[in-house]
Amino acid sequence: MKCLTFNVLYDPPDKRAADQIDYTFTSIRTPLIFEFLSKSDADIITLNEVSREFFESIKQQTWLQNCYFITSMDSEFLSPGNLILSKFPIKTSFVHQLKLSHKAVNIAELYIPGTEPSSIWLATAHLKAGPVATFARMRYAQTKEMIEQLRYLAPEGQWLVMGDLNIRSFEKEEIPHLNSTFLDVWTHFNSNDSDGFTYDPWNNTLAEFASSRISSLESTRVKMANRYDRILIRSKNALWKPTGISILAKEPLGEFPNKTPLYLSDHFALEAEFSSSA
Amino acid sequence: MDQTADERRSENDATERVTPTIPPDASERYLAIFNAIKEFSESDLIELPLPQFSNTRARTIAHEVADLFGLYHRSDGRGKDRFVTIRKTVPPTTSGRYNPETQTWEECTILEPEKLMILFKINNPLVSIFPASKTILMNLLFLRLPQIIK
Repeated sequence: MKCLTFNVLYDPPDKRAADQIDYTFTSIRTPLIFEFLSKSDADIITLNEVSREFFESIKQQTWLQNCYFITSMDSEFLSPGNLILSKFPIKTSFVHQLKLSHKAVNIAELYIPGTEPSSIWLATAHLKAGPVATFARMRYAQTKEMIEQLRYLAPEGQWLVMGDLNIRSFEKEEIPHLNSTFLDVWTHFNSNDSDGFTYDPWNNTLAEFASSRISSLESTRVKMANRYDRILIRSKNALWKPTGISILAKEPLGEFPNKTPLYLSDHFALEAEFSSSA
Repeated sequence: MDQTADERRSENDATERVTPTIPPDASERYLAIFNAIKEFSESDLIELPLPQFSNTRARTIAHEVADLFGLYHRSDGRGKDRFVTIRKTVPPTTSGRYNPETQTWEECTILEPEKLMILFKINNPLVSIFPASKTILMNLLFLRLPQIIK
């Protein structure tokens, strides 16, 4: 089972500078992101920062139409931009609004033939960003809430969490309930102090641009690389075993018209593979 | 990216959920609803319909108390049959799959996949020899086969 998570960078027009220019070149990146996703041939894909335009456009893609189920039929359920694509049939899906913010966690029960139990519960979220302590407390509460929802829905289930959790590994932000519940696939294969940055303003000009305006607070505008995107699994009875993880979309694909390097997003993608013992 | 008004308001709030308490001037009806919802919040149940508290005032209290516990709540039905249902999780949304015949994305209902599995085992030996065939089989099994059966 190949799982891929990718924050595809939404550049909302109302957040743009006064000149209203799209410095993130959405129209150039979008078809390249589609090509990247199609080539990945992942069984499960979670996307964050999906705009309505991106959503309508991806639904027109033949590779998606041929192979994938999607969690959202209507863009109203996209807010704030989480989308799950799955080659496995989606039995049920939920959008749970997280408290204290406009963020939501999308949860889907995927039917996986040939395994026992035959379901895996997948959650994706784009948690509150930001370096200040208040936001860290929000992430702490939001991850707790996400686990609570998974417990309500499938107390004994196989759980997979993928997405931009915005956890600041650089500052050793600790979320004990996350660490005690899940196996973090990146740290499973790499040492704890291994970078694993999926957001790196020093090596991705889109991230550099985004970090320059990520917060209205001047003091928090810092160029800091982090392992924001995570793939976590709680596999009961060791049904699912991670067999590898890698960071993708790290290299520029050329140049944007303004001669800056063409990255697919301000984030890199994260891909993990699992084997089933069933 | 920027904070929303709600987020700004909540900056000084504790993010841990505080256990709700009964107001000192609570009526008997409030108390009954509060206790019913409290018991539900501590149980393994997902959904609690409250048809016994169907009048307007009782429904208002039920909505208020559900908010205190951080639960979902909605009123359904008309007139005397209207009552509040409380849930720990939001009701399911619709997922979709593409129907090549109508060339539209349609609401997806899984057609008893366990039964389909009996007809067509995904662990077909072919899958281990040609991994790409898994995609083809999955596609056939879940997208095309229900249409063929129909």
